[in-house]
Amino acid sequence: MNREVKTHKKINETSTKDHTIKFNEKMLPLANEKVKSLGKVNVRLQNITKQFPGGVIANQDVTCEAKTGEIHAILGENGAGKTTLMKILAGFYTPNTGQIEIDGQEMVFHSPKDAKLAGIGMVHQHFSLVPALTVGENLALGSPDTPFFLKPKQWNQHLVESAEAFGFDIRPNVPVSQLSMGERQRVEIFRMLMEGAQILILDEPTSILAPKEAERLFAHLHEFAQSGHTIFLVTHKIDHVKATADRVTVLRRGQVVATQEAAGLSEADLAELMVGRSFEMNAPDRLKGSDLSENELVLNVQDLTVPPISCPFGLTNVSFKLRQGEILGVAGISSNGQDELVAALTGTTQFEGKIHQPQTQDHRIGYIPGDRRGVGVALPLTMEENLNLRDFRQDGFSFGPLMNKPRLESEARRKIERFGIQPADPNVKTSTLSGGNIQKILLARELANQPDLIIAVNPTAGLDIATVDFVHREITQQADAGAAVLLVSEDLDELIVLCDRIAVLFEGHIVGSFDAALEVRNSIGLAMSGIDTFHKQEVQREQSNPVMEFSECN
Amino acid sequence: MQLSNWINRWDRQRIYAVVSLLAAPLLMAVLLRAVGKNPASTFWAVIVSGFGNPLGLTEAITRMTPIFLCALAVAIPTRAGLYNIGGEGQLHCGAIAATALVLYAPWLPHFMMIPFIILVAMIGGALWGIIPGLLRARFQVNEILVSLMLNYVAIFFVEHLVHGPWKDPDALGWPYSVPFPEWAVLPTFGNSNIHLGILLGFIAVGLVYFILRYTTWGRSIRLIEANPRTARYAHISTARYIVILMAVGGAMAALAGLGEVSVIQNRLRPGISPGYGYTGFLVAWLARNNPIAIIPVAFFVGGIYSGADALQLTAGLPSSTVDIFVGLTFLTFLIGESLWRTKATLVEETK
Repeated sequence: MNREVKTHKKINETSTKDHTIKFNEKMLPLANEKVKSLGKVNVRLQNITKQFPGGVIANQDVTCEAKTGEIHAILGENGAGKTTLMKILAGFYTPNTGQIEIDGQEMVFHSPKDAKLAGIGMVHQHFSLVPALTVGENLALGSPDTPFFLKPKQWNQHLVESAEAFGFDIRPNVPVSQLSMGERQRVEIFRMLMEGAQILILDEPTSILAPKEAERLFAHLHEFAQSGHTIFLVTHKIDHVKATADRVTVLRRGQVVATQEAAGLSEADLAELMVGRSFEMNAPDRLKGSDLSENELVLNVQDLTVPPISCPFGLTNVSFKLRQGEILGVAGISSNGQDELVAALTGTTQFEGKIHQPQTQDHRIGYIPGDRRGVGVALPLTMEENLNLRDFRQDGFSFGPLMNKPRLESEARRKIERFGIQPADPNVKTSTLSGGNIQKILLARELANQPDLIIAVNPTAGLDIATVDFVHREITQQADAGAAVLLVSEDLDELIVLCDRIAVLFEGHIVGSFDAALEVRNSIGLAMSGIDTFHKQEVQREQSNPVMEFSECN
Repeated sequence: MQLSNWINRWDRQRIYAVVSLLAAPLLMAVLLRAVGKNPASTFWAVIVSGFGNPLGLTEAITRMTPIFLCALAVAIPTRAGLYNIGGEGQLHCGAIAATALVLYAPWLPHFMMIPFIILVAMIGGALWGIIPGLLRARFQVNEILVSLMLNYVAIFFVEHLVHGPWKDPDALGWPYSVPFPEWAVLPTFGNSNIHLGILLGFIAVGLVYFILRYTTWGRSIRLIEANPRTARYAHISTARYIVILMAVGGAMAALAGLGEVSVIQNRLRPGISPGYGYTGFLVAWLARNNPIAIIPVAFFVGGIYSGADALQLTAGLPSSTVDIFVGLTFLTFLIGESLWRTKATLVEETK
């Protein structure tokens, strides 16, 4: 059993044994009359549906309620619609249909300000503090209490006093840049409470915290809940749900799978609810389990170590082999080393260890980046320009610097036809296309020339079912034609359907390697959460885990 | 996004643009009133003498030339997201290079002087543009600061030259270089001071348009402008294009310097540019860095400068009053634009 899990076990004990461990009723000013209504329904989200422009449905008919004094966890994988749902509650998005009720009263929020007035405060995954300013200055920004002429001494005194009342110890004179992530988060939470938040939403609050700090956060949350606050805890970490939540709502693909008492569910139950069991996907015809070990080696990665790009985890001592015709899946919650792995393989970052590609001559890599709008295409340019991004400087498409426009256009038309991109006009601006068609542009560009190695990151995220199916077929066809595929995905169903093998990344390590099959789905789900219950499987994780310097992140 | 949203945004943008452009003359009127002048008659005097007669128009086009060229010096590097504030210094470097050719290569056959002087001046300006470009491409040094600071270096270097090594002994003690010989003066149109420089500017606009549309270079530049991350993903060297675009920008400003030393002043002297480099920056921004839109905006500003001389006669105001007006226009335009931008992003986020 690894280090991290042990620490959470400890929290679990303290929290279930005695919620009021450090609680002192005098300390919390908001509390008294609210405490009386403990246990009544405080927030109710009724039949919420949210569809984004471009057709992605983030929430579908979601109903969820939280009681006063409750820590209510919203559990789900990335892209399950957790954050969207909470942003609707906090007034950042307006739902297409559905209502929000607070204490039985229907509310309509036109902006985050409206939600704030109704007592809802959201602490985002990425903090909104200005690093160059001090804590006091940051808290003065946007607070209704801030006097027009700010007297720093009095203001800071005021902050220290009110922070104390909430059980916080803040240092108003220190620049935010010098604070650890945990301290920054406490400042953010305090800001919400200071501004009168009754309902507190925390979006993935532990993703940037060291285990000790997470523990401290949970203790705080219990105090707030006891004093009459309602707390939504958005997370994908099962053990955190077990450690803190009173009840849990599990979301999958934008829909509610279950709302239950957290105490009544085991970690395995939660994992199953979160990753699901049903198959909505048609498996493309693909003969799995055939012996690939004779096939030529395309990629041999040994002891790959990469410093973190997206905090907090880099990649530590990762090794794997990839052969012709093989699809290797990389499962894991986002930011557990996937970005670093892909960056190292595509040559955009420094790394230690070996990446060996035996067939070096004329080696073609097709890379489908995860951020298709931000990296994959240049939205202001036309479809033709994006389709020919890799080729327009090649012989045949240009004479010296002069482009052969007719040739480029016919090439674009060929790709458009082959991949069924709509509208079929190469001169259309890419920004007007839907997400599915943008992804088809990427596929057309990267796969049209039969690459030897394909690296695809979340290739179906946010796409409609027909396009998902299309993408899956393309990838399988390429593999059957002899390409080696590295498929990094957060969608477990997808990985199980497509891959030959699945490696699970957690905190920068490969913590498990599975032959893709239905039976291992829950084991993979648990491994993704860092819970390692399958001692039978060989676990490559070492005990001497390098501890990340959390305060240096970001 | 829905269609109605687009129309909404477009309307809002238009309203902000019109309001902000109207605000400048209004503010100017308030200022004029405050010093006891009649705004209406002052405006009228500027317009009539700047645009209303052949002489004024000729002068407008003459004044427009360096502004137009310096605006191109700003607009071309913006294609890679660069801010070149160094037009003034690049202009001076072009002037220095041109003068150097006249001083040190008098043996050149006369008919070859014009092509050579154009080439040498452009190289001078390009080198001055390359410095901030290289620093930016290589070390991520902010090109705004470097190009701005280099302006002073170039200006004071001109002072040094004309007070020292390049001083004309026959200039009665004035800090002037020797006058340019006839064959080193850019051809002019008729009797006016409108010179070849403006034509070169038009050719440059045409070339820029052609390169951006029909060459792989242009497509790479457009890609860098549209999304630098995609450009890197496509293995396009952003650094190379940063340096090239800064060099081309510098060469454009250098043409303005060449026109001033050869045609307008006929010699190198301090103050060859009353801030054309900076005015060019304002013009480029008002034209949203679109090379074609720069032409009318530069003409308009040139006309105002040309009409400014009338201010002195009719209203007893210093001609630099128009600088205040041009500055105000830029200011209100920027405010309007930023207001529109903030609104637009707010709408987007709460959507």
